[in-house]
Amino acid sequence: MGHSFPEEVLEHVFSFITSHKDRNVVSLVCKSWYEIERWCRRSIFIGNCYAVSPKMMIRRFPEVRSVELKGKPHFADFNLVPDGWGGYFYPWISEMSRAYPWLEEIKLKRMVVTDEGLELISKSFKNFKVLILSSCEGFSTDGLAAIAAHCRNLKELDLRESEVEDVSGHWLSHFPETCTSLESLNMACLGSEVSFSALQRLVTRSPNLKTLRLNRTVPLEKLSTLLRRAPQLLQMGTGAYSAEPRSDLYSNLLDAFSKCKNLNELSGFWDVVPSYLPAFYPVCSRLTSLNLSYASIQSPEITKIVTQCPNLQRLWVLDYIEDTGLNALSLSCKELRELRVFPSDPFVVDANVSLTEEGLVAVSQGCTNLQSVLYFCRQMTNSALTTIARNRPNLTCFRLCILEPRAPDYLTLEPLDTGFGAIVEHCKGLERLSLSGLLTDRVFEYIGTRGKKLEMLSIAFAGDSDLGLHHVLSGCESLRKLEIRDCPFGDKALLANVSKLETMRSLWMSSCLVSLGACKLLSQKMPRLNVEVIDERGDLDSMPHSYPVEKLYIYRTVAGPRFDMPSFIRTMALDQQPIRRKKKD
Amino acid sequence: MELHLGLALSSSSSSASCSSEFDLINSNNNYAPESKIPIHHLKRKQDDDDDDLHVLQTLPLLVWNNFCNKTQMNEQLHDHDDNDDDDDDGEVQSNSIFVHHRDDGGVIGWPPLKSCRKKLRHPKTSNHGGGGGGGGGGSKSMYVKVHMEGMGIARKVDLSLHHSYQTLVHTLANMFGKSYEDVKLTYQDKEGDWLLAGDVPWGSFIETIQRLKLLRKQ
Repeated sequence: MGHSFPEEVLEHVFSFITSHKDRNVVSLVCKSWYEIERWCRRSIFIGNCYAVSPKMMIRRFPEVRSVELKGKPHFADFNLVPDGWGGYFYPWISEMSRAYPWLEEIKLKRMVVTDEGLELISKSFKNFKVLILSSCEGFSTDGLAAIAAHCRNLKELDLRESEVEDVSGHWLSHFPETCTSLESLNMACLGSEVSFSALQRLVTRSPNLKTLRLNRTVPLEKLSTLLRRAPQLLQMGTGAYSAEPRSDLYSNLLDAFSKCKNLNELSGFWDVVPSYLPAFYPVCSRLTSLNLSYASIQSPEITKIVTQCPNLQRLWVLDYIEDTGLNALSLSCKELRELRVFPSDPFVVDANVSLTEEGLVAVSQGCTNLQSVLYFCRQMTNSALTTIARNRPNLTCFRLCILEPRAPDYLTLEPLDTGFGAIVEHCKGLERLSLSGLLTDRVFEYIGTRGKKLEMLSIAFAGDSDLGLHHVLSGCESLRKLEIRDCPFGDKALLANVSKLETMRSLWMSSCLVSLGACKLLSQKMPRLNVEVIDERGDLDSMPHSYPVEKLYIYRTVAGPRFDMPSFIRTMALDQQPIRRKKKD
Repeated sequence: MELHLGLALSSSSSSASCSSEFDLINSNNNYAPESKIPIHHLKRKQDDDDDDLHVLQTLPLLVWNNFCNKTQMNEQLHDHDDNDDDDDDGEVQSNSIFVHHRDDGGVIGWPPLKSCRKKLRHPKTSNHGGGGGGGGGGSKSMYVKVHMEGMGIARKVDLSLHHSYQTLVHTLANMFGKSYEDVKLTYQDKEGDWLLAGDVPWGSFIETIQRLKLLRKQ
């Protein structure tokens, strides 16, 4: 078929195919499609920066404009990946800076980004527009200053949940006075004060600014000033939402919010003083997204807010909302798609709030569009889970965290197998699932056979034996990411399903029962897998084959073993001394 | 029935009990036809001279066919349940050597929360003045990052375990394999300024510190 069209026609047709998955499929049709596709691919997503090398990417896709890269394993978010693990951006940017002069977008997640890397970005690409650093680390405000100073067409700078070293709050003043292109600025993660006058000038001269997320140091007085300068904002993240009670301040803020006719997303809300909350009520009716997960406000206040937000699609909130607030949510917010409830006091076992399984059941009943749930709680039952599953077969993401590991159904004291079994049975489109509570191998049988669309599965403190893991690996045909901690899963399940591992992006196992010998065997037999053992306890070379490894990260790769491993990681592929990472200051 | 016997014989753990059924046998029909492994992976074998393994000509590396009967496994589980929640289980015990405990007795990385959410209520609990209400005391530990000049890898230290500059410097020097006499401790305060530790009272230091850095004495 391919040869009946001129290349230009196919290229034009391909330009309408934006999904990465579809582009990959297109490139597999025949040699000529592969060639045409690779020359016109503008956007690349690499889910694991060690699965391919920068050189390979550049060789195949010479005309890329947008690169999205992910580094560390997801469990790094929870401190399970030691500092110095890797995920360095520099090797990528040093290659891209030479190969992609027209690069416009870089989106990174969980990568180590240095100031040198940011400087290289700022100097290498004439038309650079978008920089998103999500949960990244290793850089300082000096690097941001370089971006601000040199990226003349910057539209978006988003530092979401990155760990930035605050060297100076004056980096914002490096945006040149001629810079008017900014559409989105997220600096909520920064710890220290930013220069407010620079921020105010920047906001004032950015007519297209749609998103502005401040950090905790920006006081409430300044919020109304900024809102008045940018009434066109769609998304706003406040700073600290606290001040001494002052009527002029309140009326200023109320007035500023009232003039923001397009605002549909609010976040921030650190250190809330409740008496100022009504100031943003005027925008509530338009809100589609509200993040109150940093707001220590009580159930009556939260309830008062959500009942005024009939169009809310996404709500992040602390468990202070309690069952009563969730009940109100289920009655008022019929458009709700995503709900995340975080614990206000995660390290205390005794409940400090009245948030139970009933709140979630209520939401599952009332909010018929609900697709995505993250719910931290202290008790759950099989019957509640079954009801939720029956109510909401449209769930695609279900992450439940019962704070106490291995907590059974608190009414029957049974494992929660049937409850989670019901979730995978009824929610046919479920793509992401996190388990918690007391679970036996049986739940994995349910998941393996029913979770046909499941792409990411997180398991902690669950299962009885290898059989559990075997069910998952031999079933779950769409599984791409599997992360497991503190489960009695070992060699047999892993070795019986090695071929599955090459179809997945990655497998993380920590505090399980996999032996060093099995890791060696796996890596010898599967040259396209990198089998990395992370062990900070001692010298792996002198350990017997039966030695159970502390942490194991397995991923498929076409780039071979990586060269930047710290001394506490061993790749099982080669019996060689690890190459130490270059020392950096 | 055979399976049942197999289980009954085991004394240590259920995984050991399954090993008799779990032979490293070489049989082609165990290779799943839908597997996506390219053929050439399957062909590289005889050249490998690993004793137990050269017989493996196929993937998976182990076969699962005769693995323990599920109902037996569950029966076994319930026995354990009757005894105890988990600690009685041999596997969990051997497993627990890895469980890394925090200083307050919790497990590292659990509950699964990003650090920005854990830090949230630490610094400001006293400043709430009743507005926050049931904010709780938060966790007692207080981790900050420590860099050592010239080293790529940072560490974290729990400041709540220390009550003076002296013990902190000793601990940190030790952590990086230095003598406390060879280093000087600097810290970054809330304003972002780097200062030499020791000039302000310990209590004020704790309130303002963001991160630590050890410098080599010239």
